[in-house]
Amino acid sequence: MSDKNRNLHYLDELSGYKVASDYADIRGWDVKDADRRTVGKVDHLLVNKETEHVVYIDVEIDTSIIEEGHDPLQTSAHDGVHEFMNKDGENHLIIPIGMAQLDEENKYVITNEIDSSTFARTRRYRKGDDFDFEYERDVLRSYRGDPEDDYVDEGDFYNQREFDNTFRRGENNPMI
Amino acid sequence: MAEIKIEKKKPMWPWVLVVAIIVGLIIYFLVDNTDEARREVTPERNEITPREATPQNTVYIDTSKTFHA
Repeated sequence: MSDKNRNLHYLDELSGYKVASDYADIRGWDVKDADRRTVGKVDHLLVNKETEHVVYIDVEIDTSIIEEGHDPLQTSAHDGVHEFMNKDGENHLIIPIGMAQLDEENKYVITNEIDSSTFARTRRYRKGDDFDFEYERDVLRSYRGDPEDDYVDEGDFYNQREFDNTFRRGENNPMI
Repeated sequence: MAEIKIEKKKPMWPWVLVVAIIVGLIIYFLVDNTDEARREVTPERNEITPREATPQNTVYIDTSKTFHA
């Protein structure tokens, strides 16, 4: 994937770049949901070359989560979000970096705001396929659990709190 | 909230160049020393050994004779 408009690239495709030496390379780490259930594994990192930051974690979702999403008996408080059908082979989804926390000691990623049923309901894509800005918006709406979420245009999209990764080190943090 | 930064990889070619120069210098000195050692051991051909110098005009003094003024 190489989207020049959004400046999103898979780190693996940028041969001249690597994870900065002071940061964890989380590729291959398990991803756990809010209930500490393993939902998948980090397959790729989607980065912005200009800001030199990871924007999304690309996760290969466990088959158990995928099957849960196909459950025909699943009740449906959130069925309104289900305006799509994930197809066979579509087993990847993205998580905005600001919605993830890293347990560097035990080498896993935690998503405290997202549970496994949300992961199961979220629109996925096939490994290696490109996704568009609309997909990013759909994913964020799904994680927020709000299908009527306000429209945020592309210019401000990555300024939302789900992408805010500057607080951990105190940069731009008025509280510190 | 996680934060992961990326950075440009440092180019490898300066290290390759440094290693190549070091290896080149090592080879140069090894070859040079081997040549010198060979030169010391093997005598040079056509070497002319100078004979002892024999003076051509030697004057012998007869000490048995006495000179009277």
